[in-house]
Amino acid sequence: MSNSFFYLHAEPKHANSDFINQLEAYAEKSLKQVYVVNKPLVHSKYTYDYEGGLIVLIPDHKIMILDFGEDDEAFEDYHLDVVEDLSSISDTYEYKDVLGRSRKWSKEIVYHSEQSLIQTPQTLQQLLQKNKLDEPLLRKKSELLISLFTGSINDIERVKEGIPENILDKIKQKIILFDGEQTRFVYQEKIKDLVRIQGLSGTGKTELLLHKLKDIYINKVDSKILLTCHNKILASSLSKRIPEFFNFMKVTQQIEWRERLWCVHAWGSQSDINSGTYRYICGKYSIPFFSFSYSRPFSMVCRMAIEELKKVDIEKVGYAFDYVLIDESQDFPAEFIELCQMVTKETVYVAGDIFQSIFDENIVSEIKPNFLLSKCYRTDPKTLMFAHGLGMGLFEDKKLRWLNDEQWQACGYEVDKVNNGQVYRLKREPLRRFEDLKEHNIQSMNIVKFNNRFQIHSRVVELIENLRLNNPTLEPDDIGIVFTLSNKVGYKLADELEQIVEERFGWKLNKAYESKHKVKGELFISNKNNVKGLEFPFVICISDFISNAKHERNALYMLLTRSFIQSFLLIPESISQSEDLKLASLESGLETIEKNDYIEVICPSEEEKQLINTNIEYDDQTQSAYEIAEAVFDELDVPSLWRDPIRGLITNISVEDITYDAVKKLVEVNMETLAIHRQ
Amino acid sequence: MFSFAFPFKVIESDGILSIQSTSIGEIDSVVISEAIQILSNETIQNASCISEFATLVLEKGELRPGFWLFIKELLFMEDGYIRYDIDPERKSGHIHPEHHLDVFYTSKVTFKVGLEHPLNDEELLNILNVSTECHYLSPPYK
Repeated sequence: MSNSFFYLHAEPKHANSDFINQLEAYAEKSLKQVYVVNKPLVHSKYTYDYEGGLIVLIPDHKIMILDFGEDDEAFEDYHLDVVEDLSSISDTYEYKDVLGRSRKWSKEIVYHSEQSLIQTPQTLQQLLQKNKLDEPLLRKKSELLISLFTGSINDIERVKEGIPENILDKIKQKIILFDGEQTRFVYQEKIKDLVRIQGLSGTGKTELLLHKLKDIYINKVDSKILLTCHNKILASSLSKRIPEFFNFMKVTQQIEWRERLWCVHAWGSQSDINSGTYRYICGKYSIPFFSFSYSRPFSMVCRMAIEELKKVDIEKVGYAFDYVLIDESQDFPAEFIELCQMVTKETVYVAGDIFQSIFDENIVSEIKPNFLLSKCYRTDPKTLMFAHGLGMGLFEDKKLRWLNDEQWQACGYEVDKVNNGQVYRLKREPLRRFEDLKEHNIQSMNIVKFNNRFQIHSRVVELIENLRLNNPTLEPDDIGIVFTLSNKVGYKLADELEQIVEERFGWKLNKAYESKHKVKGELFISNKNNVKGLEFPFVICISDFISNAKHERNALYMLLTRSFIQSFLLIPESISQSEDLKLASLESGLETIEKNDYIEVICPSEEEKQLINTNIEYDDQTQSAYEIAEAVFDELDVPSLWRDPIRGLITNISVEDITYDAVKKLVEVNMETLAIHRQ
Repeated sequence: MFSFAFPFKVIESDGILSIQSTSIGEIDSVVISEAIQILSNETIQNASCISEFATLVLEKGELRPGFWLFIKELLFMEDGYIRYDIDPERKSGHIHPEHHLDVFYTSKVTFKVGLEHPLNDEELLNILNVSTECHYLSPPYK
């Protein structure tokens, strides 16, 4: 966890190793981001002869260019060269408008030692004191320079000049810096044939893959690269993002689609060899291709392809790709990754969520990831804590999920046990991105109650009204409304809200289940299925009760963590005694988080833990079959008359195969058959 | 004022209106959204091949019997658009009389029928009502 604060890209030497150790200790202790480099990382073309120089980058401090060598003159050249190169990088990324000329900023925010550093135990402290920046604009400029060093390029249009007054613009314009672990992933040279990167959603995996892709594309000339993910929609949005990203990163090379770069989904169709990863591999090595069918799982067709490929001399025919990058790897069977590895010459990078659902049994997969991203930059740690607490039932007497210490840590929690280990305090490290929330007294997670269904509209309007009042620069697309209601109820609500927000605010409503994407300038509304990868300053999440069904809890967790300023959970009160109890426990859990910055939870006893685990196992197998089926029925809007006959069919699936997706497929297939019977 | 065909049955029960189609039954917000998903999907609109469209209709149809019939009903529907236009600003003799009916939506097929006198609601309904006396077109004034 702590290694995310410190990043080193320089050979430690005898002369500076003590100093570097001190810096690392400082980063861990102060929870401040510290980068130690010897050159700008953004492009491999920047190199310098002088080996005694070290550059220390810490937000809110001047850029410190330090000398640990013997040759004063050579160091002076090194210092001037670095500044000159930085100036040219700033030009490339159009930072100049905000940063100004290097003549000026090199005096204001760059410090360089006059001679070789004489080290005493106080050296670091003195340096930090001397170079601390207090003026907001200078701090901003120093952050921008750091981002140029580490290649964590920010869109200068978004960052803008000056310092905004209001919280919405402050957070929108915040300069994003990669943390240590992220930077390591992007710049680490090949360590293995297979590199796994795992993290919670919102830890920036896709963004990092794009950076990696760019790094390979420009530095490994003539390499063939594939970026792939499970579904078509995601693949097509990724392939739109690549040229935008390359433009943004000022990549001058043309993208040679289908010559050097492929961005496709996993399967593909017979008619077009470039339509999918598996399809391309089959075409390249002339092995049989099977098109999609419910009765042929992807793992099976990949296994068949692997067997066929074993008969092929791949070295002789040639590798299909030099590098393969897989996104959302949690959606894939292991066979697919194995297949990709067989046809890849250099490295397969695999990025995936720690879990597909917070109820997954294997939170940290048996294969340890090479990079573990534990910090979620999308949402305020407090919102994330509440969402985890709600999702896992931590605030309630009967918990739905419990993790062991190692798993808590993998999810980014610091585990503090008090009262002989009976009480757990789960804490997350604060994030730079959200440091302004406290100052503005903004509560990031909020519970809003309503009495009956007809109040939902007015509550939503009230919330929007308040947000408009408190955020003068608010745009309609700054708010995302999401619901866990059934489609029948939710779509109707959306149709009604469409009229109301048009009349009241003159806003248009974008129903994402129709449009399938975010629309600029329009208020967003969606069910839980169309929000993947999206984030909003404000999220309003409407629910009709806190279900104990695991996928519902997981959906709430997922929806609430889409905001980067505030989330509002709209929930009815007094529908039943047990629901009110649940609601009260959520409120008190939230209060603790707000007050103390941690989740406080009584550790379940061994028996309880066992019960929770068996429940999860058992749930995934038998008992929850009912629950799963009911949820599938609701989602697909199956008439009640048909439910029992279909339930009968579900009992025929062997218990270990009962999952939400499996049941859904079965129901879909059978609805058609039943429909024919009925007519 | 304008008029076009409404292809579905409107049923009132206890003050609540519901809209029924013979192909798919009640048309609620979900059915409408599902149809819009397909009909206003950009990829489909720009595609040169039917397969994308067909796949989506088939997928939806698996869950909702009658879905294709419903889409077909919408695609083949004759909307019968007529607009009664009062246009004092752009009026220009008998080329663009102040009171006229515009028939059909698009510029290729649309045409105007001039009116000598303003019409009230009832008179306009009369033009469309097959059970009342019929109106005649006469050649333009010389």
